[in-house]
Amino acid sequence: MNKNIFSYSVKWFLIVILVSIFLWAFLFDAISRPKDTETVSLFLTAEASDSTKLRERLTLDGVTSSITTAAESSTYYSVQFTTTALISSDLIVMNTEKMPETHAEMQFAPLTNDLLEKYGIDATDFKFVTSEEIPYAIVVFDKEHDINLFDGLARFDEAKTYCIAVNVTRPNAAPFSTANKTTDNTFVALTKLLSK
Amino acid sequence: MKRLFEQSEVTAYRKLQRKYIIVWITSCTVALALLIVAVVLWKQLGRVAAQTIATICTAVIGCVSVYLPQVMALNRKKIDFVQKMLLKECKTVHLNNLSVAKETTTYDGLQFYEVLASEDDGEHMYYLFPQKHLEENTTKLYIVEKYICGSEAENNE
Repeated sequence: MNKNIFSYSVKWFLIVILVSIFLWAFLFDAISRPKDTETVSLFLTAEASDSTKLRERLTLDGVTSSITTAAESSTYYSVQFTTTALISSDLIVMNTEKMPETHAEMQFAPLTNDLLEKYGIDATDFKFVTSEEIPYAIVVFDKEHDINLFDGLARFDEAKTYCIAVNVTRPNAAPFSTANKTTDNTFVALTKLLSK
Repeated sequence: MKRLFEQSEVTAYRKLQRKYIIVWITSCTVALALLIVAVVLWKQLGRVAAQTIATICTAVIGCVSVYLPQVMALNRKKIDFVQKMLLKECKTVHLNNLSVAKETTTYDGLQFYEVLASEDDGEHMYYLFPQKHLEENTTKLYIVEKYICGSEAENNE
C-alpha cells in the first residue's frame, strides 16, 4: 500500500464514512416512517380506556394503530377537540352533542346502509346520530338506553352519550376521504371495533 | 551498458492496471447490489440491519473510489515513465564518484532515490527509480532528462 496515497486518502475515508452514516440515517428514517395510510388512529373521549385491548381490536394486517384517550373538559373541547381529534385521527369517539347540526359531511363520512352492509355491519344493531337526517355516527355509549359497545374497553361519563364517527379529512376513509391516495382502512377498523 | 528498464515491466504495470480496474468494478458492483438488496428488503432484514449494510456498502464504494483511482493514476505514471526510459535516447555521463540516498524522495509524483554524481565539471543530481540498483564501481550513467536509465561499471567494460 502506497504510504502517500494512503495518508492522503485517510481524511477522505473518514468523510465518506461519516457522510454515508448521515445519509442512510436520514433516508432510512424517511422510508421506515409509517405512511398516513399505514396507521389507523382512534381519538377516544372517555374517562379511562384499556388501550391494549383497543389496539387488539383495531389492528389490521400491515397497519399499525394509535390510540389517544382524553377525558372531556371545557378546556379540552374548546381547544384540543378541533385540533387533535378532528384533524389527526381516523376514528373519533366524541360526545354526541358535538355532532355538527349542518354540513357534517365536511368532517364525517355518512354511514349509510349500503356502506355498512359492504363492511358487514348490520345497521339494525346500532343507534345512529344524524345530521340533516343523514347518519354520521354510531352511538357507542348511552346509559339510558343500555348501550355500551366499548364494554371492557373504555369507561365513559354516565351522564352523557358518546358516538363514533369516521373522519373524512384523513387518508383512510375512501371513498369519502378528502386526502390523496386513500384506503378504506378506517371502515375496516370500525367493523373490527364494533364486532363482538 | 546495463539497461535498468525492460519492456516486460510496462507489461507488468499494465496487467496491474487491469487488476485495479477489475477490483474497483467488482467491489463497487457487489457493494451496490448488497446496498440495493438492503434498501429493498429493509422490512424483512429489519431497519437496523438494513441501514448498517447500506452504510457499510456506501462507505466501501466511496473509499474504494477514493483510493483506487489514486493508485491507478500512480501506476499510469509509472507506465509512462518506464516507457519514456525505454524510448528516449540516453545521454552518457562519466562519473568520478556517486552516492545514492537511502530514503526515497517524491519528484513529479513518483518516488526516486536521489543520486549525487561527481563529474569532471562538478556535482550533479540524478534520480534512480526504486527497485533499481547501481553498482558501487559505476563509471558511466545513461540519463534521460534527470532520470537514470542505464549504467556501466568498471568490471563490465
